[in-house]
Amino acid sequence: MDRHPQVLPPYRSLFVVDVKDFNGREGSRHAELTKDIPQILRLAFERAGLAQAWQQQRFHRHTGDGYFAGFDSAMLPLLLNPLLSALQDELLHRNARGLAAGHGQPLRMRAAITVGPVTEFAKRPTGDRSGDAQIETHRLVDADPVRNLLTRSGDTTCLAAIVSERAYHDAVASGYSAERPDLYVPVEVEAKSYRSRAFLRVPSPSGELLAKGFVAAEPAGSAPARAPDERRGATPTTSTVLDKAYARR
Amino acid sequence: MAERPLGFRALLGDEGWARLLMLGTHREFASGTYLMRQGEPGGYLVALVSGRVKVLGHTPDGDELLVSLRSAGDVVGEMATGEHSRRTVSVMAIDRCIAKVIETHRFHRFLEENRAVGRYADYLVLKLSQTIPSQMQLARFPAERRVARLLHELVTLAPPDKPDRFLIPLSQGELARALGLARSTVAEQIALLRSTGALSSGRRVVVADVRKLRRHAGL
Repeated sequence: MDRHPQVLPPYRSLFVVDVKDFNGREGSRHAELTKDIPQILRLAFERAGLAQAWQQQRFHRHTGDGYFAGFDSAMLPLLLNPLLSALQDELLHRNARGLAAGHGQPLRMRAAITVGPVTEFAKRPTGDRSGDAQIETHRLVDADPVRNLLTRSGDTTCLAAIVSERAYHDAVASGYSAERPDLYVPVEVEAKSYRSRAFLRVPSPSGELLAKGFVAAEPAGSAPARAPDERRGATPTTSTVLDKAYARR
Repeated sequence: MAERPLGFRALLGDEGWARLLMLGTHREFASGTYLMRQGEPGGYLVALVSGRVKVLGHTPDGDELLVSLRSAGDVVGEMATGEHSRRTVSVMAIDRCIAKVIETHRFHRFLEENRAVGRYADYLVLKLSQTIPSQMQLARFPAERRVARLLHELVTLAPPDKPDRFLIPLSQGELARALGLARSTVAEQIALLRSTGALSSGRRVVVADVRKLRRHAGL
């Protein structure tokens, strides 16, 4: 096979959210919820002072139980801070007022954020694209470590995020997101053929996440998410991270 | 309306909430009276059975800040835990309120006996994020969104059986102060909400169409 060198396609910041237990909700609510997701994201961007960025999405796609969008790579730090906290606040506000479509069942989301080159096959904003960064974003949002964050926390934790290693280095470790790097907890992700290090971030942790940290020492599953009272002490590293997280609030 | 505010009652469950209420002394507060005042000694808290309250902070130079709105199913006054700690805020009844006054040490024993310490921690997180400054003021929403959200909040928390539950119990000046907006901006936004039919016309501020108000609020 002949191979020729090519120029890199443009770098984009990729952002995907997935609704927890989307399929567990009443089928009649699915359409309503699918319609609500971009509206909630728009309000979170607005709340964060990023209304313009929301309008300048490079491309976007409904994913059925979520939403996928690409932004200019320069936006990456802002997608982490202040957007993640704004999305948590917006979700909590709606849940606290019983406004989530699904009647009383609180709306909770996972988010994944990556950065990388993306080939755009079509100029339309909803056109197809390809690229490892896009695959990575979808793998990350479905990965067990970020799923476990929501099953191991209470309903006040409305958002759990996972950030690719490259996004972490470019936006957090570099200082551009103006956050303490130790708010992010490293984790190994394995899904299908994908294997990588990534970073977990929870704007408002609760339940077992406070007692035991973001990464469970033993496989999560049998134990219910609530009742941190009955849990043993936290691991020193993660509790330090959380103490700092709370000191900042 | 399927909206049900998530208070301590929702986190505790109806049965737990009923058990908690049994620990308290029955009290009724007329509209406009204080349930507690900033600077007073603590040592007890109040579980709200019905009615809305305003949580108010007073600055040393006499300014009053609307810190939050609470209603049936909420607990207020748990921050000042002992007789030696002072109330950090005042709480005033918006509607006639029915409440149970519970001594703080009995409340904490209840939490332990009912394994509800974690749920209470969740409630505190919820409370600290559901304040007017963080939800309405620090958020960088445009004025329309802020005004509509505060009005929506007031209507959502109103007792469902109250005949005038759609009447906004704050003056335009109070709304403006609570939102950190100029009075003239609030007046403009109220005029806008009237023009779309979210608010009724007339001198008083009355919500005419909750769905339209929600649209303005982005909710």
